Amino acid sequence: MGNVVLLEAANVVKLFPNPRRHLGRRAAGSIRAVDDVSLAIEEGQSVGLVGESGCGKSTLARLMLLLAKPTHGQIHYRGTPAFALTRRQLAEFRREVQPVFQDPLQSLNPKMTVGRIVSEPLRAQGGMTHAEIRRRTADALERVELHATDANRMPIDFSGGQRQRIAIARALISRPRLIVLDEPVSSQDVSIRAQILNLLKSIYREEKVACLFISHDLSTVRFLCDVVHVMHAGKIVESGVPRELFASPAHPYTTTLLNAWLPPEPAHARRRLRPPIL
Amino acid sequence: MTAPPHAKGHEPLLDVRGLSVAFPGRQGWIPVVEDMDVRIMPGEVVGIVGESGCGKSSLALALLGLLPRWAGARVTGQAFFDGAELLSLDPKAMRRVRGDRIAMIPQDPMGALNPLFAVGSQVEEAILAHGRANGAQPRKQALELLGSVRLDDPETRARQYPHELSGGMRQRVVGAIAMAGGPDLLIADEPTTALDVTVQAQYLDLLRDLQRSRGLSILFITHDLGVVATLCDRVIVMYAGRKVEEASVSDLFASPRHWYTRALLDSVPPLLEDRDELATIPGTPPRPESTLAGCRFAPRCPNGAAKCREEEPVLAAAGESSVCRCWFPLPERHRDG
Amino acid sequence: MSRRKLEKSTMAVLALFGSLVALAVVAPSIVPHDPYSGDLANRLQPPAWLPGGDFLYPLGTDAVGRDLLSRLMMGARVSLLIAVFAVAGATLLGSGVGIAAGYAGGWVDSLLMRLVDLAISLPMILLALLVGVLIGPSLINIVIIIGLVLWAQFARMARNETIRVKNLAYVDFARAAGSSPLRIVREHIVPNIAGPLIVLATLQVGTVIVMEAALSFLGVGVPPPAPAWGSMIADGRSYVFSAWWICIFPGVAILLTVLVANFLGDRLAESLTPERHRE
Repeated sequence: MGNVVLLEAANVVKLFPNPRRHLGRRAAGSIRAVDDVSLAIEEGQSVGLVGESGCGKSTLARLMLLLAKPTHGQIHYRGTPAFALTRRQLAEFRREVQPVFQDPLQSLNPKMTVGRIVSEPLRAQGGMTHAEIRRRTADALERVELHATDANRMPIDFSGGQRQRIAIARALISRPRLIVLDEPVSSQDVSIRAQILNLLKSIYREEKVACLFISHDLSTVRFLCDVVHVMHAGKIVESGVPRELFASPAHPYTTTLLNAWLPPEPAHARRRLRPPIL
Repeated sequence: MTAPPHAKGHEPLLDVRGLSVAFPGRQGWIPVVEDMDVRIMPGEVVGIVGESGCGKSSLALALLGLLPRWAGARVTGQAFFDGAELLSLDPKAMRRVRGDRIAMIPQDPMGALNPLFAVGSQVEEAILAHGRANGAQPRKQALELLGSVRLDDPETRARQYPHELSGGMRQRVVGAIAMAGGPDLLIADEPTTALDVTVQAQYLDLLRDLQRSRGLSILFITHDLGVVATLCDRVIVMYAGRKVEEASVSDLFASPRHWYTRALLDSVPPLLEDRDELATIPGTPPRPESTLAGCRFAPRCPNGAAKCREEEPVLAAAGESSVCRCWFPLPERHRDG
Repeated sequence: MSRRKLEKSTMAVLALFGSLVALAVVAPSIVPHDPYSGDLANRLQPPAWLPGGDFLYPLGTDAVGRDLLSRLMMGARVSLLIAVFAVAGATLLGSGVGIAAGYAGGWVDSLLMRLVDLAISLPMILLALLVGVLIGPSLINIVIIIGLVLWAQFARMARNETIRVKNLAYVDFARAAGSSPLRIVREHIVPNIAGPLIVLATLQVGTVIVMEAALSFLGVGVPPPAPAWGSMIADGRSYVFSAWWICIFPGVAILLTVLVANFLGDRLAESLTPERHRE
């Protein structure tokens, strides 16, 4: 784990116009989806971003993937602010930073074969022969415990868990340095969730790739991440190592989150039936 | 049709026997729910836990006669509710039971609420529909109901439309509508799956209170083991359309007897411990169309014996009030203290 | 309706539509009589099953003795030809504009959509009359006029569908993977919006046939002596009570063709957009 900062958000703010209308005209003010957030991801580091819906974590993810522009503040890639990236640097960014999204139904193009889906990052960048692409696709599929022959099938033939594996294969194929995963297991069944979490952890360990895990589930983040940031209403309210943070949280929101996590243990659960209402 | 007499003099509110649901397929009927028995006593909270495709939602819909007609489902078995047999009721009679005696809370509140009407009027409509309006005060009753589901500022909220409310608030409104008829049994189909974790905690709190104060029975369907542990008195574990285990909550979590149940419990990542790797169940649940001989869990079971693959196990008693469908159930774990 | 019945009815409608198309294609070879000229001695003959009729002219003859059946068959050819070309042209033009507007967004979108609004408000009949007077009606002119009136709907649908797909996760991913906009449109947008567009095109076939009939009826459609169902109805106007068959049969032909086209569109909607169609 080096100390090179791969990707960094520096005092990032993202405003959206207020959707409420009053008498036909837009109401004043904006929604601060991301409110002065600073976050750094080092090479080989596993960072968790945890929060509930509407806290801005997905927006932050899109900003860090350079899929949207911050209203204020900057995203830095290897030290260079995003607006100053040359075309070559941007192409390098696109190779090195890959996303995995939550919804397996919408994150794979239903009209493309799995092979084309997985190989898209390679085809988009060009410069590879068909044979090379086929080989890398087969490797990527096997890395996620699918078969090379699955490349000829369509997404609809696969279960939810398998589709998520396809999405992970797609993220891995360009040998990225950083993978951003937005709720990678939330929509999966419990037993599939465990399989995919194990896969993600093994990928993180073996490929030594940095990861940004975004989740609303504390236990997922505990299992996968070295450091965790807790996000609420667009701000990061607390950060730390999961072991310490979950044992003694400082911020009341973190406490609320922890109390709201329901373990599969009746005695324990009854003790925490009344979490503090924020 | 009258229900068979009950031994202890304590009659179950809901007594489902041998309920099976099948859908038409290319080569005959595809079983989605097979031979399910569910018994709920008055004031009891029973959870049905299982993963997607195990048939738990179809079970709930079948009980209320809500399976979509175009699907052409075939429902067999019996379901006695307070003496009356549900599955043989004609649609009109079923409508009277629905909402009045048995209410349903679906997973998606936006689907249950009409986007064109303010939520207050939808609650009023439910009150009027079930003839519970006393005098000319349905408005007041609606506000009371909204207050009873802990919706802040019911006056203002009643005038708002579903899309103006958050997911948690919508689910509370759906709860108010469900309670409008004063039901004895609430069937909740994954009501908190789409909610944030803190909102879920508050909602479960609310359900527990409602249940205690009104003696409500709840059939709670979920895939979340933590929710079951928090809210339910008894649990039924479903796998591939069948009941594989049933026990009280304390028994099930402390000492699961079925291999699937245990594997499920083991695969949840702990919050307060570091783990290198999670215990997983290899493979995926069988598709309803597949015809397997023997135990449906056998292909994935760490204890796959020859008998398991040849003969399907039957439900057998596994303790005082537990049952388990396994030829080689796990030994009972004795709890300390 | 159960799934099996649905598939059978789709096949049936496809077969019907196919036969219509086949008829149109082979019409010149199989017409029993010359549709362009008639035998004055046999003018205004009623259909074969009525007194005075003759199986030589199964559906009767018109005012100048031309066999109605032959004219109907040739008319099918004309109508379907116009429908296919006008709809194809409108689909291509409309989709192109719509995708560009939807994907680019911003001022490009606003500009193109204003253009679309303009096109939608074009009065077809007036346009056709104008063209007919200025340049003289011809087959090509009719295809162009109808196409001009039609393309805007496709543009609107293509734009809305493009926006829908643009916001899906796999397009986000494609951008993050470094795919160029052209690649994204080609690989992600077009395949996923094609379904609804094809359904719209099929439904428009019926509309175009009625449009063409209307234009022909008014005299600014397919120029005589080419047999077009609309002009056949116009020709038969004076004989509505005496020789009703001259009007009625072309009318029935239009009705049946439009019905078949609409059924086909309906069935295609079921199979191409199943998620949207299920209640």
